[in-house]
Amino acid sequence: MEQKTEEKTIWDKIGTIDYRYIYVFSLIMILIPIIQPIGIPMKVGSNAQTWHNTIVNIPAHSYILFNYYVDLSVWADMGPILVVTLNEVWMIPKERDVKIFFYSSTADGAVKMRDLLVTLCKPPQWRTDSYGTTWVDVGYIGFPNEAAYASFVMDFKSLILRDIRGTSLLDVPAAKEMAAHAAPTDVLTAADFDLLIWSSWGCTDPDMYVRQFWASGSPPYHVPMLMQTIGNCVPNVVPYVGPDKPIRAFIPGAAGAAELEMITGLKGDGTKMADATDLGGVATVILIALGNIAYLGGRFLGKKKEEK
Amino acid sequence: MVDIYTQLGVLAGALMIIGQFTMLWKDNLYFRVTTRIVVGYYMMYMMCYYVAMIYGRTWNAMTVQGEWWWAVAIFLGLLMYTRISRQYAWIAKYPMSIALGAGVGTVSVALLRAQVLDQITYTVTDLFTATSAYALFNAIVIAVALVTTISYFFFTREHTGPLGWSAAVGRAFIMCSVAVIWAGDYMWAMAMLSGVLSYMVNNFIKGLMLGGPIS
Amino acid sequence: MSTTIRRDLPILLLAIVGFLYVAEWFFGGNVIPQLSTFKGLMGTMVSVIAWTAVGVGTIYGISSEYYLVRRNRNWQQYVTSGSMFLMMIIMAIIWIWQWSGPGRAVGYAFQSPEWRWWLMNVYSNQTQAQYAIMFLYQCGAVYRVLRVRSMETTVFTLAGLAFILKSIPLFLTVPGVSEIGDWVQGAPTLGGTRAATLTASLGALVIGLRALVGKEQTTIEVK
Repeated sequence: MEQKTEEKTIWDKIGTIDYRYIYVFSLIMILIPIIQPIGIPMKVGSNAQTWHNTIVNIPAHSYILFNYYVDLSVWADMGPILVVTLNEVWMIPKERDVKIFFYSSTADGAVKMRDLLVTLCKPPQWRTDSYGTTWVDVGYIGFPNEAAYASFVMDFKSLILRDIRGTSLLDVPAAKEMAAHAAPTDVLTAADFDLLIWSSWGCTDPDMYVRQFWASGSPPYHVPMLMQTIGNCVPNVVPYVGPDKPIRAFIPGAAGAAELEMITGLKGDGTKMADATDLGGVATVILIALGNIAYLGGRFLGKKKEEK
Repeated sequence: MVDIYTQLGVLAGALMIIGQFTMLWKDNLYFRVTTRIVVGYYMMYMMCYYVAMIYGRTWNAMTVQGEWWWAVAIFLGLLMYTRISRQYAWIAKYPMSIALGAGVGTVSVALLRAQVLDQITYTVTDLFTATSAYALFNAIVIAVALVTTISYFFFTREHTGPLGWSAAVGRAFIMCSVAVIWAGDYMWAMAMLSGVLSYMVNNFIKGLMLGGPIS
Repeated sequence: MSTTIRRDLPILLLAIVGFLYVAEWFFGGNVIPQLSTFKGLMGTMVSVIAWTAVGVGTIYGISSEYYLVRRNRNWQQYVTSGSMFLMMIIMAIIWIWQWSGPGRAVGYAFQSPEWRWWLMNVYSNQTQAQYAIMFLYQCGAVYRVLRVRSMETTVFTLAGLAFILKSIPLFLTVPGVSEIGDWVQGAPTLGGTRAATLTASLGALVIGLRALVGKEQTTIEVK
């Protein structure tokens, strides 16, 4: 019986590299800058610049609602953004009289924040001394669904009764002052805030936050937002981004954090990871190029030989 | 000198990471044990947290302020456990109906404003408020993308003729969106790998094994 | 009677709650303040219901693990399932032990060194590693799938590449990369996503309205 064998062309060989070699190649490319940092130059994008400008140029006597969302399962990507943003907010001068209301929509946040406040994100001494008058932290609020958010934006006391120190919410001077900002003056609502800084890696959350913090209320709350997220939620966020739209700027991932660290001068994990991202990206381009060279070469230049 | 608990913590973390990486070779017992440990941890973590939340929100309110209706909410929540029984699973429909009604009511009108009317408004106003040729070009691309993508999801007529061409263009825009979603996911996963490898190199190898500092 | 109690009454309850929420949108605030009070109260009630019901998932998780052990009576399954149950017992002990101290706030257990040790060292590292190995699988996919075979894959490859290059600081120094990446993100992606958001929202609205009037199949189904 005759046997036919097809000899693999060079294009087939390029196009069918064993996946284990690809894993090892990618791992090595990302490991190199971790073991020996390279310090590849960076450029700042428009998103990071707008983010920075919004915080730095916030009007005096403003109130910021800050959701220090922390999910430890994605800390490597979202942690750097939170750290640099929190430090940037702490850098707002005392004379601007900007007050901050902190809460966390994740259980991990309540635990991690205690660490951050004594290590990477230490507030300036005047803030530490003025807890309750210039800032308040209510810890973790478990929002199981959107109805909970709807009730929260109408009245914060529906879900939080006291702050992390056990003081009844509206007995905290800062919270009482914030509640008096917009009608009704004895109820803390979303309308009392001039800026919401929040994070999420749930890609349906931008829709929910826009519904509740922007479109809800009579009149609508229209709270402008800055959003920290991960890369694959970018398409879900962009329909709401713009100077007159709900989300003023967004930072997708550690690469965005690196840009923000460059603008603010607060070097952190984002900058350290930028090198790894650079070489990982180079590896990606090489893999895409190899795959397409193999395909196009095989399609237009390849010949198959048959041996008897 | 780093304390023993921190060192044990780094060792535990490294063992969990290595357990996950063994999956790259093939499914194995080590991988399954590390996964189950975290599943068990997270289930108990969430249960404990929510018991604490219920206690914090309702106990004082009921016992001190006399707000008895929280007991009704807790009772309705407990009715959800009837789902476990085939005979009485229908009882869980009552608390689910309340939650579903609240959810539908919350979302419906806000969604109409924020996700439908506002999006159409932005698309149209961008066309007429463009301040440069580039901005106008972008606004036109966005409007074309919107119309053609919606035409792709129009299944009342067969996609032939002008509708077919429109749907094909819409398909290209959908692929563009999907590509950006995928690319973002790729970059996110890359950042996660950098973080994990950084932990292994800096904390485990340099810190624990070679006696350096542990962050 | 059975159908009334099992199907019709829950649907009626759903409709009442839903329509009161919708009514609050139009007549809440100063017009009929009781509607706003109802919405605020109901949001918290629904939260308490959901918090109480979290245990259902835990029970399903435990029972499915138990059935796995019954089906596969080998030492590997005992070790796998045993590690999950052991972990749950350890965390429950830590929580009760840390909560039961005199004068301690309910949330103290989660700030205790023991709880934090497990959270920061075990949970955080394992979950991040899970997502990290996804990158390596995606590298294999990038190599095999992103080839310009058709119009769709060509658009996919080019748009994906443009976004990846824009996200990498090294390539931002190359002229044009940032501008092309911003354009891909800000124009075709925006249009496509806006259309998807609009279409999905209209669909969700229709399903919500059908649920409110009792026409939605999943609410009509009776067991």
